[in-house]
Amino acid sequence: MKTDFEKRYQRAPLHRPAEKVSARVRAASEDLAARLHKQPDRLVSLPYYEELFTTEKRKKELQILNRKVVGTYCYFAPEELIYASGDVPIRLCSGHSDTITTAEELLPRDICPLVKSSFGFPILGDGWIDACDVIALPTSCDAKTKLGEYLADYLPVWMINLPKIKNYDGLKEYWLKEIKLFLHKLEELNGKKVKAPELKNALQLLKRRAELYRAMYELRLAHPLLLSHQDLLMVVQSSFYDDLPRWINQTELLYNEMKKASATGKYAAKGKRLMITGAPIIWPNFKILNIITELGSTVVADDMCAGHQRLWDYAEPDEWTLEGMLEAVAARYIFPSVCPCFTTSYDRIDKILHLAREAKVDGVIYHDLRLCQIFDMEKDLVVKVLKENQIPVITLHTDYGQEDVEQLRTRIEAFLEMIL
Amino acid sequence: MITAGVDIGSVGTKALILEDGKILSTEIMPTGSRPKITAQMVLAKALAKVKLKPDDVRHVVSTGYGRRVVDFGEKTITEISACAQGVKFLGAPKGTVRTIIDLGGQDIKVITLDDEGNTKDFVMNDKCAAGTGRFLEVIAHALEIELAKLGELALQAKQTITINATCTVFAESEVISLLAQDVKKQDIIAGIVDSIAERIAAMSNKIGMRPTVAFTGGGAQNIGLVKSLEKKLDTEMYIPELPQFINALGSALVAQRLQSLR
Amino acid sequence: MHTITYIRRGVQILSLTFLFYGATLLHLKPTEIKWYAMQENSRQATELLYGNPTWTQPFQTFLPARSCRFAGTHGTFRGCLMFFFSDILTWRPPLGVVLPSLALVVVLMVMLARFWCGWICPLGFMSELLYEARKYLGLKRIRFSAPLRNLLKAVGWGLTFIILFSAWFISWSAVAWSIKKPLYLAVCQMCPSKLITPALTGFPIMINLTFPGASTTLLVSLFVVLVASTLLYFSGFILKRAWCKICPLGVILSFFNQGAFLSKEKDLIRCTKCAVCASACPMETSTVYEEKTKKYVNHSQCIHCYRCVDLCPEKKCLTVKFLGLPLFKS
Repeated sequence: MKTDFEKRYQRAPLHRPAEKVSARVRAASEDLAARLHKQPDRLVSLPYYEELFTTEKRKKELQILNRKVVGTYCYFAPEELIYASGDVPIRLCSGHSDTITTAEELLPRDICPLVKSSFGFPILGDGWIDACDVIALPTSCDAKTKLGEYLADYLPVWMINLPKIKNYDGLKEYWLKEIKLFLHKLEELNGKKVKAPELKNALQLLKRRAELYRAMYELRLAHPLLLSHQDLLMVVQSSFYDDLPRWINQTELLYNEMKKASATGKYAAKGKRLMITGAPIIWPNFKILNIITELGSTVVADDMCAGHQRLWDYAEPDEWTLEGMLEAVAARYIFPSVCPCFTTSYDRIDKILHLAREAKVDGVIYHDLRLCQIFDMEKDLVVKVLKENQIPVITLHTDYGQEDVEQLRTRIEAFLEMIL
Repeated sequence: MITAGVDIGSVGTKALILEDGKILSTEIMPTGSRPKITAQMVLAKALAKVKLKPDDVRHVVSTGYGRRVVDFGEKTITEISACAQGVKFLGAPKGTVRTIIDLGGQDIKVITLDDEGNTKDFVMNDKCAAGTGRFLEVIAHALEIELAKLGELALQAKQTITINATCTVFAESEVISLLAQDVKKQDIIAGIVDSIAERIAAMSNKIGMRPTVAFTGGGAQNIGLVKSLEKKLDTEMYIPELPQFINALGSALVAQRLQSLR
Repeated sequence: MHTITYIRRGVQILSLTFLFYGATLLHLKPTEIKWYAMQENSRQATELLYGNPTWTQPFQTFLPARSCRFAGTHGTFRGCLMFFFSDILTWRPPLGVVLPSLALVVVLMVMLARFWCGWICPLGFMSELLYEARKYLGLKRIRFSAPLRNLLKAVGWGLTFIILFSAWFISWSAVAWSIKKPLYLAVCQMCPSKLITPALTGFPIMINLTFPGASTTLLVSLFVVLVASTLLYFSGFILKRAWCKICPLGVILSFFNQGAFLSKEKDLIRCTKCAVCASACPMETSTVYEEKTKKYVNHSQCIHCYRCVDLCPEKKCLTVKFLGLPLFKS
């Protein structure tokens, strides 16, 4: 299988299977699932999604499935193309803190916890990466750019050369080429060409997912507690792993249940309506959300790449020719992205202002993941503009560890007292 | 109508007894490893000072990082709100307070207040202890000087040296290497104090500091730091009489409001 | 889904039928227009006599742009806006005579600007059918690069200038007949409609590369331009609305796109900058995407097809308004 790293120099892949660490990883998922399970008045369709995180069912299914599994990172790996090729995308971005120490044997300490956490899994020989045939890795930030060479020790890696400047005319041609190159790699992997009808199906499948998410989002604006934000992120993030048609069926059930439950009127927001922006909050690193819930407030919106952003946008081709669809796929990943890896934060600021306005938030929480420089550097202007718009905002500078929960609680509680 | 405020900080636990806006007594103890018991003890001591029984106290409100461990409090508030309430109550002889700098054991907080004296915005240091009371403690230990004398010694410095490290651990090593170069302790202390002041000044400027600035918390007892900070911020600061008890005062005030609501 | 496009297609079919076959279908008799080229009997120009000039026919100037004179007796109106302007410049009628028609034209242009191009113009509609056929065949589309688009824009301006200048130039009696003859209604000599409209309506296609007393060089040069523009028109098969990018009528209407009553507005905050609008634009303008500080997003080349509004994935992000009244919303 082709890889972007031709191995001129070799590093022996590090394998450190550790049952203790793996057990801690499982326990973290189970604890969170149990915690979510105990939420009052929780909808009955939700335990389905927990299973994807707490059991190995889906992983085993993937291993016996006669389809190639493409591990992806970030917002930018084009899912449409992977589905059109008949393959399955699995997102490898992880929120487990327990694998970080494992990864630090190879990776430097001072890099983003998301990258370290995800890289712990191949070393452990555990997690979703076990089921993957190849990894698609966009060069979205410095850590991801360099992660490819490390991952290449374990699996073939395809890097996706992500541009950094959103300049319409120049970028769309360049990025379309990159998308076509990715499609070509997929075609080589599967030994067959992707035809327009297949791509059309994939586009429509993902559009269906987006429409479903949008419907849920709109329902949640008035009744945010239909799904606590933890549950919402769980539902969103389970779509990265589940069989998508099945996920859509299940989520349609969930949506119908939400619609019915909204009529009871008991799912209005409690306490303050908050919005989370910034670095992704990935299962099971829901500590901030849990603190907010404990303090009696409600998160009603987010703009995260592992949350709202990932499912909101879809490819909308002007014409359903192969070229037209590829153009739409290319545009869909770059232009609406609010990832701070692009040179300007303006698009992201607009997005936050819009969500804050639409969801009528009382305050914004800026989740600043330690050692994620790009989110940190965008913070200043984002915070300034939000304050100019009379939207209170607080920055939480934290990582995947649990040791600062009390400090975070104090900050969030003080913030909630402040916006009284 | 007697109320009490208990502030369980990372270093010291403080209690303050308030009767209708008059401070009856205060008490402080090191928090130690069992904050729950310390909190009970410090409250009991404060009451004993003015010969009161626990039953005389109508309401207790707790604050500080250990606010949730105490079982006698009726309400908890964060130290940010408590601090703002305390400063608002005391008023300021130097003008209306618009910014509070609070230097505690493990936190530096800068709080800005709106025209009504309510919290408008605040910043705190990250989980790192650089520049906090703990930092001063470590340095005092390395220099074998009592914490309380640090401030006055800083004022006796003859030359200015710059401490580059902001991390507590690295700053300690830097101090030790300066001692090895035979630099005078006073100069080192002045350097340390300056580096903390610099950090606080940066935080204050970032959040948009407006005079009058109040300086509270244990750090405000360090006269060297006060002078250095005043120079850096280019403003005279208001330091309340009992800077360590502001948070406890704030929560006792909140407790009085519980009463009036009833 | 895509409601606006469906409505627009309906309007386009109706207007093509009306403009090309309306006279036949409704038993209307369009007024005959006499002009230079038709004086073939005497093989002479009648410079003084001009029967039924366009400006005396208010019905024919009712639209800011009308069907082509090459629709023959089938069409409802004779001659487009360029025809009208050229005639005025060539014959210089008294202002009082021409003013009512001119005023009507200007009012309509101020109201609707290039709305004509996207909804009424039969040529534009047929060029859209060309690319619909390509889509059906699944063939690849080619986009104009930015420099080429700028070049085409310049060519359009150049053509417009030549057409209007030549119309005014031949009005001087001192100009020789050999020049006057070929340059009369230069717009029609270069317009692809001269070949396409007759092909659809059965009107005879007239191409004279020689004419007594007229400069053959000029006639041939104009014919070369005609061939080039027709080729450009048919390249619309793979390049969307290729001719429309230089159409002189479009150039004139485009002056009114900014500030017309019909206007497109964008909710700057709601917009996710997904650039679907830019990829959907048949004129390949990207103003709707690029404009991030002002809510009015009317590009001079916008043909008001509202494909961007139709495809915009964000509810209520793009709005088409007529004098502030919303017509269409995304």
